[in-house]
Amino acid sequence: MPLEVYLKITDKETGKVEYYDRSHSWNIGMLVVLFISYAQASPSNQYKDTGGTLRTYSTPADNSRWWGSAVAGSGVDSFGILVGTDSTTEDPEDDNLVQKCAQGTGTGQLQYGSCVVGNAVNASGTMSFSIARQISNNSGATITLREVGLYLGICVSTTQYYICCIRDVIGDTPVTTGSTKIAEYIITMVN
Amino acid sequence: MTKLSLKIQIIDPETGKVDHEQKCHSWTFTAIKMLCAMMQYASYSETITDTGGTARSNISCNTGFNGMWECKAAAGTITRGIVVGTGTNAEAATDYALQTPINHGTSAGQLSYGAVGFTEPYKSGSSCYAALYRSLQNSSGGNITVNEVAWYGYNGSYYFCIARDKLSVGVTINNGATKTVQYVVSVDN
Repeated sequence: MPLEVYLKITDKETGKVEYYDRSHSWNIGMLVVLFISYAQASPSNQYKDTGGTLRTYSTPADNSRWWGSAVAGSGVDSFGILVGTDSTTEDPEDDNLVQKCAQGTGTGQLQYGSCVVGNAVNASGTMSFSIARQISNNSGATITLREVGLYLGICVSTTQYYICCIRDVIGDTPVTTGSTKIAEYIITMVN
Repeated sequence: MTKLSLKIQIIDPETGKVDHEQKCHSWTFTAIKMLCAMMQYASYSETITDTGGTARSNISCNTGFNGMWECKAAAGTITRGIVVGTGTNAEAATDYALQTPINHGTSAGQLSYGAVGFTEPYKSGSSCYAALYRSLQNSSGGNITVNEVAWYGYNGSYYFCIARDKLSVGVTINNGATKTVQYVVSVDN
């Protein structure tokens, strides 16, 4: 009974599902986040953060600090669900989106809403939960999405880092100026 | 397609031979609820049943300081880590504990549990792996057959069953013998 991930992109106005498929790539980053938490240990190996820097990770300094958070606030483009325009094939060692769309209204920029993580729901023996985020284009021109990722926030001692845990390449998905899409990862336990 | 999968191996530490291997059938509902709570960065608003059968509310899974699915157990500690039992009930996603746990010790029906060890995440081909393992020594004076294996995690307050599997074939640990039980966590792309 593995945990699978599905990616869905919906047009907010029409409700039309424009992309829905199994995600192609949990990354090694997901194992790193889980490993440090379940082993309560600092790996001797280094792993890249979303800035591409090799880091030595360990647990937070105290229990007031986060671990594995996806709940990025509105306008935050350092973690949560993020999108980009590059179509380079996924690799399980991907440490970031290749061409991330930054937050904003300038050329090539998108406005990110809050990233929302719902509770787990049991439907006929299959349990799942979703992570969703609205993405609006007010840049003045169409932006074509080709990659989607999930970055989680962790706190090593007292310093925050972000780790890319999922990256998916999708077919060309245009976001016209003035429109909003909802990107959603659904993590589900498959029987 | 990508999956976060789990596999059990039972290994003879002297020969390195894998005596038994099977894909796990059961991450529990508890596991996915705790994963959800971690990403929510909040205490989980619904109840989660601990290994003692008590429904716990406002479970915190959101700090790496306390851990989530934490299974770092010293030798002899069986409240967390890899634990085994003799129960033969089929696994279910709703399981919250082993059916019939084998206690730590050297008396009849008991096993001596070693400390839980870990293999760090690494990539091999298009998949990535990590592992946790534990030695089980039988000094009970009789043979013991292991029929079920579980991963008990700790969140800083309570113990939770992250996975439980009935072995497809019981594995007998002869008196005087030691076996290593290993969970391999993988992302398979």
